[in-house]
Amino acid sequence: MPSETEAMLAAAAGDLLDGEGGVARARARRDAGGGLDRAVWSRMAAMGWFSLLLPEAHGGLGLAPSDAVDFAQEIGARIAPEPVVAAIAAQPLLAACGTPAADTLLARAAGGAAVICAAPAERTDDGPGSAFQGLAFAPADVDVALAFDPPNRRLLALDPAEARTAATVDGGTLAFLADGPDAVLVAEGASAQAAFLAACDVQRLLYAAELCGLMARALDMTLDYMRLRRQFGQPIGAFQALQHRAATHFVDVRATRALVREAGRAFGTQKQSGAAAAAKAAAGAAALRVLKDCIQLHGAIGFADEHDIGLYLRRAMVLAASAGTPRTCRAVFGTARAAELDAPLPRHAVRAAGPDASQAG
Amino acid sequence: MLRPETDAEAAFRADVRAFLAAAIPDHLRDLTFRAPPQDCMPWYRALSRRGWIAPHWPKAFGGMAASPVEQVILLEEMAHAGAPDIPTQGINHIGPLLMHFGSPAQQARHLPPILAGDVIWCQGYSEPGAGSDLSALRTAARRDGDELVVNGHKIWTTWGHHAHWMFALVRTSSAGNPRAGITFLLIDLSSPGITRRPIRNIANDDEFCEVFFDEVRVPLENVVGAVDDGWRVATALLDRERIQLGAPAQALRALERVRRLAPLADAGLADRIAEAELAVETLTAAFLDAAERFAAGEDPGAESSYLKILATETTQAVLDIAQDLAGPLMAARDPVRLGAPLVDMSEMFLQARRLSIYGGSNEIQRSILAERVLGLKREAR
Repeated sequence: MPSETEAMLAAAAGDLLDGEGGVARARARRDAGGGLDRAVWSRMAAMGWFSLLLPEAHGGLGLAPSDAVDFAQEIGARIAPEPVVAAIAAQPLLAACGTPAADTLLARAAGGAAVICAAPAERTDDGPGSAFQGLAFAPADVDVALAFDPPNRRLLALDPAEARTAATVDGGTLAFLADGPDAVLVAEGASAQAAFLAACDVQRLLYAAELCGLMARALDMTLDYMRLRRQFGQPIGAFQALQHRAATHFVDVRATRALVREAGRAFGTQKQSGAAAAAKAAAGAAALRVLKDCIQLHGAIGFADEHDIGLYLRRAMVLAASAGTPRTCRAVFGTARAAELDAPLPRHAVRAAGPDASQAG
Repeated sequence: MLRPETDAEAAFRADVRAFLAAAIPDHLRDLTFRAPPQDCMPWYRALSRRGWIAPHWPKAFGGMAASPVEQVILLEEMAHAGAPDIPTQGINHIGPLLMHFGSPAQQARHLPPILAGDVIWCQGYSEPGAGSDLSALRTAARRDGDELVVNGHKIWTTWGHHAHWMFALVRTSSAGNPRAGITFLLIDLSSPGITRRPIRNIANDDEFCEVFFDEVRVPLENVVGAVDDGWRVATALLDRERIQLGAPAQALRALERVRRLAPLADAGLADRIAEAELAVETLTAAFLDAAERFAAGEDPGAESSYLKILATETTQAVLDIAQDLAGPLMAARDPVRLGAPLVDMSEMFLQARRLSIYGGSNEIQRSILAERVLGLKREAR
């Protein structure tokens, strides 16, 4: 259950986004061909959104990632197009680096510059010329993206404007970040790597929360439609075939939200990375399941661009692909879980016969 | 569980693990079906002596008053150790119901034997003509002095042929609303006039049966609540009970099967294994969330229908994955010894068909959610 701080943060997020125009902003940005709304971004910065997880010693609020789960849900509910989660993850990452280059970037971020943490590319083994070649994916319309170069263990600051880009279905632009002459070395070594991986965990948890908020709101919109839309002299929500599907989605939404909240409790422990991946895997898959059927339950109007439900599906696709697709995150979680099970403690003597079984097949 | 354990919780887990390693007799370990009473009740009584038979019961009634996390630890360790399944109608159903609606005399008489494992209960709700439409039940009880005389036919009664007592819904009035004339009755199954016939299920097991009542005399003191008020008694607690129906007990057992098959499975199935682990974590999180909200005084309401759907369909989905891992052995009738562990191939999969049928079919649960929680209603024409 959310604490008072969490509830206040979430309410403030909802108020700000509603005041800025709510869902209509997502459509407007899409129609305008993308781009970051600098005015909104600086109001978010002024509210302290991007320094929620920054330690207090650095001027942040010093909250735990789990404190921001409800907050991120409110952002998802309104499909705000800004890369808020990536920006939230960037500041504690920079603070953890403690290098002059990191301090400079942190000061720029505090001044309102859009500094974000990129997510690692998932297919770095692709051959030359592949669209997926590079270090990371990141929203392109920001000033600085932080990406990690694993072979050399270097955290780099990159300008997405220099990168190859692709338009995304929500009206945004994705940059395929690559090392280059303009890259600025922010920090290096094992501690930089650990800080970057922790920032990825934060993104997975909060993207998962954003997806929870998104699918919950999309389901509410769909239920409203099912109560209003009439066919055969009845609201379509009176038909059992549709009722049962709506109930299935309600189960999905509720259970996923519980999992994401539970994953937040694992932060700061050894279970953190596995839990964050579990949350992102579940939320990405559930949001796509629910949103696809929200379109179906709206019928033809759901397929029409004029209705907002399509914006929710497209934003869900982008968020599901951010910081680890469901399949990638399942693999991370599966590996973490297998390691837990192989650890000496969980398997007691009676099960010590396991290795025999693996040879018997 | 994703959340970290406190030192006390970790110590509890270690206690449970050590106890299970020592206490489960070999012939009861890794069973894929519920063993008959002569085999499984000694284990029930061993858990009872250890004080762990009723984790969610309050201390005042002899329970453990375990936290939701402790409940999950117990379930995780039992599944992991291959602990035998035990009858739960007493612990999960009639016990909690009597705590709220039973007279002090009924509580004193019936709760201690449930805890001790001396009495097995079964549930007499379904009838040939009353399944999902439970209020259509016709087993009748007529008043005769200080007794009710029961005539009728109950069916699909899990462990009805092993049980000593049945809690049943019987019709005491046929006037007005069909729900208004139902009485909640405790029936001693050794009473004259009762005939029980086991029914074989699709897993080749005599788990349930039908029960015939011919002029069976039941003292009025065995009515729970008031005569004709049984529908309220039976349903008022359903919301709370569904929290226990949402416990990941069966899902963890199914997951254990996946884990044992995992080392034998094709590497290409790693994603399916992770899917199974993730599904059970999701259920566990949902159970903890609901149980903690309930412990904090929140009324779960009809929303808890979602837990029954989630728990049963998670178990079934995990067993689908296990079938996938089993490959061509998926159809093997009997467990196969692969190295040392005994691995069930088909029995749990078949037994799990019942999960989405019993306790209010999942279709009924979905209708409850749609109508009472999601506000999707039929209009009168």
